[in-house]
Amino acid sequence: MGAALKIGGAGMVAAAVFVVGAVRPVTPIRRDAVPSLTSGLSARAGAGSTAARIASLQDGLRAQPSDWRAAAALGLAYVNQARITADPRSYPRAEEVLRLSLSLRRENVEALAGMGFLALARHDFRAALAWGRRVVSTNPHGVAGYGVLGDALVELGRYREGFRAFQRMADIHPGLLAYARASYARELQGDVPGAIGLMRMAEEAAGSPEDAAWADFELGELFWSIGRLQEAEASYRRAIGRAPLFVAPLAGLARVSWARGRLNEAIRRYRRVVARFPAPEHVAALGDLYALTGRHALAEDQFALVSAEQALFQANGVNVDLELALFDADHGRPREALRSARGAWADRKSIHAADALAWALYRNGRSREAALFARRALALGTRNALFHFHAAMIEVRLGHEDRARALLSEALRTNPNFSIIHSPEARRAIAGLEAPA
Amino acid sequence: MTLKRFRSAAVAAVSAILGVAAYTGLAPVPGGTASHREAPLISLDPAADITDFFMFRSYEPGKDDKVVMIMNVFPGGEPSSGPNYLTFDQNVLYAFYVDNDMDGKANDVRFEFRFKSEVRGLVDQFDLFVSYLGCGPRDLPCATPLPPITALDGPGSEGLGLRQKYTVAMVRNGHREQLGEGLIAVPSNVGPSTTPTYDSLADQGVYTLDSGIRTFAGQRSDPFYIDLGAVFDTLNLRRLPPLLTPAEDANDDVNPFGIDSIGTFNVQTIALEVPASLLTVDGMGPDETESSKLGSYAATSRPKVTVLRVPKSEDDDRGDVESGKWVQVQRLANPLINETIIGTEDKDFWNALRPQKEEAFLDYYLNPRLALALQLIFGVPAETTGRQDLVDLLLKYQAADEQLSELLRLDISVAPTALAAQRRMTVLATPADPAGWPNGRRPRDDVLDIAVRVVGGPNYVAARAGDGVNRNFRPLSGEFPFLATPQNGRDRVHENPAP
Repeated sequence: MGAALKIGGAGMVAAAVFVVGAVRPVTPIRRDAVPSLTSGLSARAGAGSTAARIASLQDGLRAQPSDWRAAAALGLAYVNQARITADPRSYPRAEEVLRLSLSLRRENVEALAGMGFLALARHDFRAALAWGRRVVSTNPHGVAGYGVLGDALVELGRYREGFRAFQRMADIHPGLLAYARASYARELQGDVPGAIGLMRMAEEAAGSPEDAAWADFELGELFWSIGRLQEAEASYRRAIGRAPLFVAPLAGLARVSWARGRLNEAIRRYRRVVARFPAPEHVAALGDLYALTGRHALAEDQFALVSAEQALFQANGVNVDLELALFDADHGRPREALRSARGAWADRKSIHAADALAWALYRNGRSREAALFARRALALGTRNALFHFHAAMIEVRLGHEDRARALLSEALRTNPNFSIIHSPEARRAIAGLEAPA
Repeated sequence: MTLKRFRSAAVAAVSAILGVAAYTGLAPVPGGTASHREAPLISLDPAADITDFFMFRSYEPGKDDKVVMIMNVFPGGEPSSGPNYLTFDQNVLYAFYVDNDMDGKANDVRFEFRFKSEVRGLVDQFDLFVSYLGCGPRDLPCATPLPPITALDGPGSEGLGLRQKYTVAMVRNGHREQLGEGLIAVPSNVGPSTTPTYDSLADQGVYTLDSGIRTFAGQRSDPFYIDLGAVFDTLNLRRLPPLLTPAEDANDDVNPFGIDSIGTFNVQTIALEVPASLLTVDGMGPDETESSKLGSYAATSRPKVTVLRVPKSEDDDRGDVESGKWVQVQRLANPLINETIIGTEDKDFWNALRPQKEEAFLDYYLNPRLALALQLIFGVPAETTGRQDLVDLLLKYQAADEQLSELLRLDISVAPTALAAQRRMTVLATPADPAGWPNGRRPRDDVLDIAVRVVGGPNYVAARAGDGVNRNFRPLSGEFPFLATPQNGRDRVHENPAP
């Protein structure tokens, strides 16, 4: 068959087949050769739902228990699943298979990144930072490491370094992952239109209905944050249409109902959210709505449930300091709030932690200290209406009326519906300031 | 506080969480919080994911002065989910790049495609969460008569709710020329009610532009054929070596033992037919040119965005996120390079680089992991190291070249072979068919079997190694855009092994 191998006009001889001399004995070979071959082809299998991907990865791992790549991919899919469905049962499963993957092969990028992603989901940002550094040093050309690294740095309040990691990500491989992070960075810097543009690009680039739904939900949140109710509602609806199991956009719709004054509809929607997954933030919102409609016993039940849940999370080593601080501050437990806020601030110097500490200090009557942290919360340029409200109330207490008035009107102009309990309070406060002395 | 105060629903909620914790022994976590964005860490990018790139001298009757380039994106498009998700991305630059002076740099001619989506017609009117609508022939007629989609524009296009239009531009010798705009991409083959005359609909998507250029964008059946299920199952082919018999190997119309697990899915196709004289350095046709060797690749790029906010002025709060530059997301020239040659950890890096930087990946070519895998699985010695032959074949025009570029190389002076006479094993067939891969690549070429034998070496040639899939699931066409009509979503079938 020799002569037949000459490739006609191209003049290229497929010498590949001929240069090989006598048949040689089989030599010992790298054990990962086969999985890497088959995983290389996996892009051919196309985009499926996360659930389908999990099922097929489980099958694959069962058939080949030493496949460290399949184990890592399954771990990541589990984390993704939990993120999408708000069902945390997938996190322990994720950790199990990720550790299995690392035990099969040390320093493999997929599992290291997976552990970083898991640490982020569990709010252990220092651990995530360490995992992120390991990923980047193992594979400086890959995009995942910069994602973990940037996410952790941003949550820790190290914005300059975090944004640099995001930029690196966008330079190496633009797509949903990089666009979504660039969007968040823009939002933090106060550029909401830019954040919306980037999140739209992320949505368009989504590779699965779940990813598209997630981007839709985030778009809804961005529109919500600047008071564009109609666009927020449309985005939440699109998210639900794409991924009916995704709970967060239903909570978004509940908030839209509240903003439109349809309190019963809002409560009905929040009850559905809470029945599917009782995340503390949703339970708290339901409680606030019960309180708003005068159903105080029901409200107290929800608030007690929130506290119990938070305690449960803490008992299991999950860091909810920041969330707890804001909840306690607004639900009659100022001392507990301050303790949590200090914990959060010790852990991370983010604008969110600064805001929570400012608000907890304010609730404890320490407005002068609070003002320092409120300023730090706004230093990056965020347009977050709640942060502005917090800062305003501190200024009111300090007697800085002009500044208070400016902050309050900024908060209400940005998003008149920024908080179930605080929006009415902000309106009252600004009316009080404007009244002749 | 005590649990006693809770009403039953609240207690159930807490027990659900407690139950989880008790069952797994690991910590439960809150499901999302406002302060933490929790962006995904991995995500497929199907709209920019090029599954195949083809380039060949046209074998359509009367068109042998033309060169055809085709890229497919959106791997594994399930026909039944076509209407919702299978579209081109408005933020992706789809492009073909051509080298016509053999310097290994595919910067001589390029063709760029950009898409824009619009929501229109009945879907827009009724504000529906669907892309396409139409009531053609069906057992249970629609209560409201909605015209089926039989046209891309005008009457018969009312149900084409999500419509994508595109532009084609050619950049040649630094000169940019808009070849076409307002061209309409052919929608998914939804089913007999919505798109009852799909072939004629698709024909409307073939546009003839100036200079005798034709273009098509839209859904096609995936032309790649492979027993992917068997390959994934650790190369668990459905027969033991020596695999194909001589008769089976010579029969391109029958699958001796494999299942085409790809061919039942669809892809999004961009196809372009251009006169060869537009591509050659001397502007001559295939039979006259002094420089008949072309190198090319397809790539997808996304806009370069900036993370840091750069305010232009005090009252400028508009997002200034796009810099006008592009970042290459994926490239494809020869088949199976990304999948079987380049290591997983280097894929992002490889995809981001231009083909002329291929020297950075030389080790992967010299020591192909595919050869290792074959040897490991089949116990048949393969050539696993020192593969200068592969470097010469895939990265050079001729052995003396110093520039290493991973390009699909096509000598347009080689006469095309009519579809019916094409041989899937191209140069390895008896008699040889010299007009197929690695001389360019046609949809018919069995690149998997060819690659396995070339990379495996003589033992694999002797064994007639292959996956047992010799033909595409859907019959290919001998006319532009050459790929098969996609299966429709309602009546699609997938191929399964015989029991």
